[in-house]
Amino acid sequence: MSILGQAIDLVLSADAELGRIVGLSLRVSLTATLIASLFAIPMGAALAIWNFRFRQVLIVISTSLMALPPVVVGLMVYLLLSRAGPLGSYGILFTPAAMIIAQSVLIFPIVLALTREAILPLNRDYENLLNALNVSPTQRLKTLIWDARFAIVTALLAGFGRALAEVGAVIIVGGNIAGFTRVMTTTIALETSKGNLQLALALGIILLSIAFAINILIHWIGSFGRKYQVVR
Amino acid sequence: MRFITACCFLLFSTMTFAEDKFITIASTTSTQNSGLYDYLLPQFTKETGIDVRVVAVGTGQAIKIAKNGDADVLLVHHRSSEDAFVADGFGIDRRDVMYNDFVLVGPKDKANFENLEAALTTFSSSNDYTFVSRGDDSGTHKRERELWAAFNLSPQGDWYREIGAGMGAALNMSASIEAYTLSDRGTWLSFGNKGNLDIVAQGEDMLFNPYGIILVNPAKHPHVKIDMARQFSDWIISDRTQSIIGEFTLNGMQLFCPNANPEQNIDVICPSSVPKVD
Amino acid sequence: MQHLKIQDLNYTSDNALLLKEINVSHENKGVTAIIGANGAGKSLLLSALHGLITPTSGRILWGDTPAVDGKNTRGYVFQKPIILRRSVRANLAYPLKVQNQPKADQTAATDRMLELSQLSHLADQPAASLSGGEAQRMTIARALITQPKTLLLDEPCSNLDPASTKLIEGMILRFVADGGSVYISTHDMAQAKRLSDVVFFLETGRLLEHKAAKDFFAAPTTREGKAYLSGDL
Ligand SMILES: Nc1ncnc2c1ncn2[C@@H]1O[C@H](COP(=O)(O)OP(=O)(O)OP(=O)(O)O)[C@@H](O)[C@H]1O
Ligand SMILES: [Mg+2]
Repeated sequence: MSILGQAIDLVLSADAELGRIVGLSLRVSLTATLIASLFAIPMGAALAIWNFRFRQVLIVISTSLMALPPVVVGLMVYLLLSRAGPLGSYGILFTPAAMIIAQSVLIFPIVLALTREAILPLNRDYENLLNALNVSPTQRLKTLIWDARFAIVTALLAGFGRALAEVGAVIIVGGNIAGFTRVMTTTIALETSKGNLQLALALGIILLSIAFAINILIHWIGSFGRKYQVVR
Repeated sequence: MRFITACCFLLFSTMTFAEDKFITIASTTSTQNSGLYDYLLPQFTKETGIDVRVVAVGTGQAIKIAKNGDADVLLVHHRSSEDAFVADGFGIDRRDVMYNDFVLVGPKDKANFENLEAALTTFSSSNDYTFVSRGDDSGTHKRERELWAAFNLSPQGDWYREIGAGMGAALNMSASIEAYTLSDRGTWLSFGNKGNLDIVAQGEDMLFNPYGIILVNPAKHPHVKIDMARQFSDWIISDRTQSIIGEFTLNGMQLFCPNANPEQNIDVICPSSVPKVD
Repeated sequence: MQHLKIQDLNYTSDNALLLKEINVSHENKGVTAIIGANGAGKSLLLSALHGLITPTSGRILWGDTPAVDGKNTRGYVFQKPIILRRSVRANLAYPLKVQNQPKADQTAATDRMLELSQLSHLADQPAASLSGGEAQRMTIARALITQPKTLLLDEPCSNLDPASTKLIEGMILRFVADGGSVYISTHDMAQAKRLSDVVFFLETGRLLEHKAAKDFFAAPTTREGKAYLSGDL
């Protein structure tokens, strides 16, 4: 098909503009992933380890958040950051920071759930030993997070992939401003709407390659992690 | 700890992207998609050092953004909504900028219509035609609703598809299902996936499509950058910029007619297909 | 010398009385063998001694300290080896690490333990790849690394070959010679005879006999004790 051929040509002749778009995409999604995981990893681990009040409530909330369509997340962040909203005075609507916030909200429940899932069985294995050694709560968190690191990195990559591929939220809060908040997905949406299907497809190919690379990474890390797992 | 530092670094490095001297324009996809801004704005930035951030959405949404104070300037195409925006105190200093027109597009060889009214009447009284409506409260959608109303037609039934999407999506869909749709000429000319579509009706007074620029009222939203916004507004209606707008072409076709100052004799001839300003 | 006192200890789980009315006053020294059939309650008693389970009633005192406290003065080895998903070396160093001991001390102690447990050649392997016996050796070395006063060992030799068993027994005897006390559950009567000074004999959650090892093995006073020994030997 000629449109695919043209798209591949476009990818190969990538210009500076395209590079900027891809770069911004990566930077926004990477930052969002880091910020989300800063909260989601310890919280996910805590949910796996301890039985505290509101634990069930938190789990239910985070699982529901996961089912939330990105557009709704985008809309909520939009209303929050709009000048008419509670955080309006910071003036970060239609900036990369707004996109980072929206993506963080999107990623948070994913990383939280996957971290909890990774730590639950590990905690079952370790619990007795950690009790016997009288390990403090912080040390416990550190130990379990560290020993579940392969699974957690996989969780982060999953979150990153979702952030990178997401369009509904970032187009609302970022505004798809050329050269400023235009990322891969919003460019794809825009070029599709302009009928520039080959350019849209070219970006799709890049996005696909990144997703592909992420998945290879996930598999590779997974196989590395299995080496340390007790098979009994 | 290292992790946290890395996070902060990344966040701030992204934030530093935010240059100080910029204004935000809430505008419409039709102007954006035509490529006019890519052509025009770098010149403004070069002359003034002010960066212009365009958030391109439907006219309805653009007005909402401006009402919330999330933009400094509004540049849209629906006169009565614009007037209401100013009358409600949200905007000041509305000015004409330019115009083009709407066109009815549809499958090339399917039928010949005498005029717009005949086309719309035929659509609504027969099941052989499909009409795709933006359904997104954009300027084009508002105009389309007004057209049906003007001919006393009620667009209802299987043949009338409200897709709730932008002009491009409406054109993409029309091309693939052989349907009719109303488009602004700018988007139509710059659209890259026309397929079997062509213009089936144009040039009538009712299809006149003027664009206006409005400053967001600093009395309502004290944070708006009124000085820079005014600078932009003044710049866009200046004779020189008006000429530049008139010179903007795509595939050899002129897309917009400047009309900020009709008496001013700027050297631009508007396409004959486009209805004249009254 | 510290004294171990167990007073009216009862432990119930899911309405089953798993430890019943255990009373012990015991001089905390030498090797104490905890003996009894499968399901008699040996593991439960050991974990109660370390404060890992909370008695339904009664209490356990090491000297004046309740069992829930002073965990750092004791080393515990579980019946099922618990292996951290790290290298052998990191497994051994772990108890020191969570005590925030200096890195150099950690390394020195770890090297010593690697040698003692004869695992030096496997130091950098993932611990998960150890054989059952190697893993048991590692967990004992890990319990010893904090230089505890008391060792609680739950069937530490169940998977070991004769040479490894001898190695572990040597470690235990040296630990006792240095003034430590050991509580060890075992099904190996020959081992119990070789090591222990005192025997706790458990049967369905009751402590039926508590006496010098040589007396128990020469002539158990209870019918259950006799039956266990004759069934076993
Ligand atoms: N958490 C628990 N809930 C219910 N029952 C338990 C629990 N823990 C142990 N038990 C039961 O208590 C009894 C004693 O268990 P324990 O593990 O102490 O036996 P043991 O003497 O160590 O046996 P073995 O020689 O097989 O290791 C068993 O019948 C066991 O099923
Ligand atoms: Mg047991």
